[in-house]
Formats: sequence, C-alpha cells, structure tokens
Amino acid sequence: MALGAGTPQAALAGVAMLAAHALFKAALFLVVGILDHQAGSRDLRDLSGVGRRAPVLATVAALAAASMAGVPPLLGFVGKEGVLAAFTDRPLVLAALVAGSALTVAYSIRFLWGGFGTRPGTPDVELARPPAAMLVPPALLAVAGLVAGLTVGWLGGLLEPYAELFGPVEEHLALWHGPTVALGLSALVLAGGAVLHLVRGPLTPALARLRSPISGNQGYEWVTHRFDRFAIDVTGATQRGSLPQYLGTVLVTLVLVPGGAMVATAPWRVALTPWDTPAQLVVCVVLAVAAVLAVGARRRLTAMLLVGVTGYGTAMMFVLYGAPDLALTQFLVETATIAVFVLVLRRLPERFSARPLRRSRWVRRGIGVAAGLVTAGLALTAAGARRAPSISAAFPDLALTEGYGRNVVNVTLVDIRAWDTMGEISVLVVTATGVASLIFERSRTGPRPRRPRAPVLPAADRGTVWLRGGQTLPEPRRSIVFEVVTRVIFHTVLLFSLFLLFSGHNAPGGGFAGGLVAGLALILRYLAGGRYELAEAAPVGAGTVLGAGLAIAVGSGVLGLVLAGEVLQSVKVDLWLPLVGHFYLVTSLIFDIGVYLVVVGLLLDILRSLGAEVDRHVEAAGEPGRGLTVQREGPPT
Amino acid sequence: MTRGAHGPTLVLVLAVGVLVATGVTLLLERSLTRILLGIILLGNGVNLLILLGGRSGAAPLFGTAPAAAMSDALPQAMVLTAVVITFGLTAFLLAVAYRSWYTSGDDEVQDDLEDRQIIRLAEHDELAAADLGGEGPDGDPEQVDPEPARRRLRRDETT
Repeated sequence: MALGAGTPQAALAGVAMLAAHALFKAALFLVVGILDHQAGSRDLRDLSGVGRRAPVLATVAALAAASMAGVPPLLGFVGKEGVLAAFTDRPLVLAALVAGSALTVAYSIRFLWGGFGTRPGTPDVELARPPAAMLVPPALLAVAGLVAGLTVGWLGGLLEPYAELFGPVEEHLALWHGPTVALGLSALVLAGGAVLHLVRGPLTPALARLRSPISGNQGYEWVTHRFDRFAIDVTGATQRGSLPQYLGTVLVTLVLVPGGAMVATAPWRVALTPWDTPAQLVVCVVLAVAAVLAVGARRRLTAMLLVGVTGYGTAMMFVLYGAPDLALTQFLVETATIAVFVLVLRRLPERFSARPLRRSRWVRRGIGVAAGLVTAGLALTAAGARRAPSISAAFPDLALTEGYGRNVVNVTLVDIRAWDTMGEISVLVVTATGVASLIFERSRTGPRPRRPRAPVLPAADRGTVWLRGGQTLPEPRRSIVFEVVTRVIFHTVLLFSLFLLFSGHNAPGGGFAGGLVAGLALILRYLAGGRYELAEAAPVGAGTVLGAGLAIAVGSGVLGLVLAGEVLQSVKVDLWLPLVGHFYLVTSLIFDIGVYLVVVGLLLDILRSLGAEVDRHVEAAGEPGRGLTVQREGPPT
Repeated sequence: MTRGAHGPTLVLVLAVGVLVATGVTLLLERSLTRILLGIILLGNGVNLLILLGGRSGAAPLFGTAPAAAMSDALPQAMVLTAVVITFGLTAFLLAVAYRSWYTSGDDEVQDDLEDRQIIRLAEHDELAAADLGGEGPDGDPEQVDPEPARRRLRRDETT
C-alpha cells in the first residue's frame, strides 16, 4: 500500500519496509524450519520449553519478531513509523494501519510465546540442539535487521533515489524524528498489541464463533474449479485443432477488417492504366488460367506444373515491368522449384487423396475469392496512397557514387540494404539445415556417399565414361544422351554462374542468380548420374558451403568496418593486371560471393536430402524404380 | 513500356487478385502438397503486389536510361529476396510433406489430437485434470503433513 500511494514519503517508507520484511520474514521462515526439523513439530500446542533448550535460536527469533512488530531500534520500526508518518493526513488509512500493526504485534508475541515459551502442563519437547550451520543464516538476517536499524541513515541514502522519482524527499529515514504523531502511534501500536496478547484468553471463544460458513479451502477449490471449467470451455470453443479452420479465421479477419477499412477509401476511383504493354494482358490471361486449373487439379504433378506456369508467368510480368534481375531470379527459382518438387513427388502418391472436403469446398472458394478481391483492392489503395516521394528516387545516383555499381537492384542488395540480405542468407542457412534434419535420420556431417571403388562392370565393356556416377545406376534408368549433354555443359554452366556473379554489379545477375545457376548445374549432375555423381560433382559438405558463405558475407561486413568505418560499407579497390589492364573491385563483391555460396549450399543440401537421402530410403524400402536408386552390388572393397 | 504518373497497372492488379484467390483456396486444403502450392501462388501474388508499390519503367541499370524513366529499384530488391526465401520455404515444406508421408503414409495435416480431446471434455462438461477430486484440508500431500499411512494411501489413489 505504501509503495502504491505515489508520494515520495510513502515510497521511501515502503521500500524501507520491503527491506525490513525481507530480513525478518526470511529469518522467521528459517527459524520455523529449524524448529520443525529439530523438534519434529511446529504445532504451538506441542511445543514447550524450546527457549530454555535452544537459547540462541530463541534470541534470533526474538530479534526478527521484534523487527516485525516494529520495536525500536530495529529496521522494522523505522519502516513502520515511516509508513505511519506518510499517512498522518489520512485518518481512515491511518486507523487501518494502526489496527493492522497492533495485530502484527500481537501475533509476533504469540509466535514467540507459543514457539519458545514454557507452558505449564505441557511436557518440555525433546529438542536436539540446532547445529551452528543451521543457525547462521537466520542469525545473519536478524542481526542485519538490527544493524540496518541503527545505521538507517546510510540505508536511506541507498533507497532515496527511488523515492525521488515521485518528488523531493523531505523526511529522511531515521530512528528518532522527535516527538511526532507517528512516534505516538508506534507506541500505541506496541501497547495495543501487548494488550491483545494479554486478553487472548477471553477472546478465543468469541473468535471461534466468527468462523466463516465457507472454509478457505472450499472457496479456493470452488474458484479453481470454475476457472478450470471456463478454460476448457474457451479452449474447446476456440482451439479446434484444425489447420484449415485456423487459417480460415485469419483470412476471414483479413477480409473483414482491412477489407472493411479499404471499402471506406473507395479504391476503385483510382485512375488506372490498363497495361504498360499489351503483352502483359496475354501473360495475365495465361497466368490466371493456369492458377485456376491448379486449384482443381487432381494429380500432384499436374497441379505442380500448372503452378510452375504461374511462376514463369510472374517472371514474364517482372520482365515487362522493367525488372530484369527479378525476372532472372524468378525464372531460375521456378526451375529449381520444379526440380525439387519432382524429387519429392516421386515418393508421394500420384493423386491427391480422395478426401476433398466436399462440404466446405464452396466455403473455401468463397474465402479465396474474397481474399483475392481484398488484396487487389489493397494493391489499388496502396498504389494510390503515395504522398511523399519515394526514398528510392535517390538510389540510382547512390548506387554509382556510394556502391560503385550500375545495377541499382544489385547494389541495393549488397550495399544499400545489405543488412536485409544478410538476414535473408541467414534464413536460407537455417532452412537448409531444417530440410536436412527432417530427412536425414543419421548425421549429415558424416562421410559423403562416395561411389564404390570397385568397378561395377568390367572395364572392357564400358566404353567411354561420360559420368562416373552414371555406372552406378541400373541400366534402364540411364540415359546416355543425358549423360553426354551433362558432361558437356556442366562446366560451361558453372562458368556462366561465375560470370553472373561477377557481372552482377553492373548488369543483371549477382550472387543470387549466379548461385541458382550453379545449383541447377548440380541438379543436372544428380539427375543424370544419381547420388554418387552428386558426391563426385561436389565433394564438400553442404554445411561447409553454407557456413563458408555466411562467414564470407559477415567477413566482408567486417572488412567494410575496418576499411571504411561502417559495417558492410563498400570500398572501391583499383587494380591492374597484365593483359586486362586497369580495373576495379568493390568489396561488396565479397559479400555477393558469400550470397552465392549460401545459395549453392542451399541447393546442395536440398539435393543431398530430398535427392540422395530419399533415394537411400527408397532402396531401404525395397521398391526400386521410383527413384534414382543405384544398382545393388557387393559391399565396396 | 514507361507509364508515367497514370496510376497502377490494371492487368497486374488483376493478376494479384487471381493469384491470391487461388492461393488462398489451396491454402485451406488439408494436403500439405496443396497447401504448399497455395503458398507458392500466394507468394507470386504478393510479390507482384509489392512490385506494384514502385513505378514501372526501363531496367534500373545506370546509364541505360535517365533515372526518371527507370523502374523503382527498391521493391525489386525486396521482391528478389522474397523470391529466394519462398524457394527455401518451399524446400522446407516439401521436406515436411515427405517426412509426414514417411511416418504416417500421407501428407495430410491431421487435427490436433490434444485439442480434439479438450473439445470432447468441453462437450461432456468434464474437467481436464484428475487432481481436483475431493481435496479436503489435508488433500494435497505436498502442502500439509498427513500421517505416513494416509500419504501412501493418497499416492495409491492417484496412480
């Protein structure tokens, strides 16, 4: 109450009281514990003569109880008097405080008398002398209450900064303030408590009649019971445990709340350009048809390919909107997505299960159409809502003067908003690790699955070896054309990915696009030659590539800090090479190399998990023919 | 190709609407493959939506066009990261779908069993925990010190 009053005086007295409480309550708890432990009971009716047998314990208890009762010169007295002084102008509060404090005094006396006194008619309790190690903690606390009371000026200095948050403190904590009202009240409290203790005999029958009709336990049980019921009802009504229901709730909220607000802005009045170029209309029609067909598709592969069409359509939209970098990335990602999808779909049933939730189909379609309408409306509203010029208006100039690059999007990624990219590649590392840990049942960091050393076929029968991993595949699974093409273009593709990486600063490309191209080259090697071919193509762990990429990206940030004084700041380095002549490198290229490695590592990890490891599962399940399984052969020698 | 200050491109807005509508419809399915396809569609739609936040124009390559005629580079950079993140998410959800198939035989998201149980309790007007029955003053063996015999008895009851 003192702490909640909000005046500096009350706050000061409140924290002093808090400190006193900590000291005496803790000591008293320990004392009761010792008593219970040594005497085997803490029932006042059983205890008698404890004080005589354990005088030190009794002294500690008396000291702590005196502090609780507010006897000078203990800290409890200082605190309590402070509280009384803080409320002298509020008679009702003061009366309650005095009455409560008197009761405190009474029960302090009762505790001492009951716990340590000698009762006539009760035999002295058998009490082992408490060991010193048990007595020290409560004794320290109790004595601290005494010392703090005597040196309260020093303690007040520690506590006053808190009280000063409420205003200037006028009365400092002290044992003696002169003959004040509070002092008189303190005396009254002590006397009242003593009187209460003396008249306890006649009071007892009166108190017994005051017993409440509901016991505390019953009331408590009733309350917890009602709470439990309420919790179950609420949980049962809201937490249905069904993903479609949860998502439906979220989406309906999206339609109703932002959608409702949107209607008020009347976005349909925004001036519209039908299209930037008519080609957009064609792409839009293709995209829309593919999307609608994808919803109704029964076969997984069909649905997947239709969604792929919308992805390529989106990439075309990017091209037509004037975003070549974006389109390049989208094309590559879409291709990689289809490849990865096929890797998993070969294991899943061909068709979607025949449980199409027929009853709720129209509900789902309704929510879908409503969400589409609201999002389109939000697109109009957002496009028409620009008041201030875009921050990106300065990006082209910044890209050249600060980032030393001509490709504004790439410079934005590796310099202007490099922190975003840093966060993103961290997410990619986590994702790759997540994929691997979902698929691998054993450690991924073990030895790579290497091609068995023993030749599968006699060397004379083999002819030209295009891909060494190819020999491990069963004959019907092999495609010699695919192997030859892969062999011929793999290195070219890798070179192209490096070209994209290095040229990305000034032309479309960059670490993301380059990494995706290199990853697609790895996919090619895997599809042509199976999982041993993948290990041949990339004889390093995916985790190593991911970690190296992240480390290089972070390292380039530190390099910027060292060279230019700011993390991820770009620095231009002029160089000269024979035959090439003068050229320059920007440190953000190092960051882009990190991005490149992370993307390659992500794809490698996906291939290792969803490709090679799933193949191993297929083999273990004994159903070859569904994956790129390798031929069964004897154990490698 | 340049649009000037005429307002958003209607065709793109339509594409956003269709992609989101179909994406959401698939998202509300139970098969993880369909949910994932829905997320991809939704992602494409939202990427186009973000792109609409900036103007269209010539490719943002310095020197190929005047800065005023270039498309806005900022939303493009944002969408580029989003595209790659969506790819990571796709791979992750595929792994989840495969794992689900591997352990349970299909890739459907089942209702949470615990939640179903709570719903049943609520319907039958029952309580979740068995520890509420008949707590007398000595009901909780941790709180008070009942006789050793009784303590054992209560342990037997609860087990």
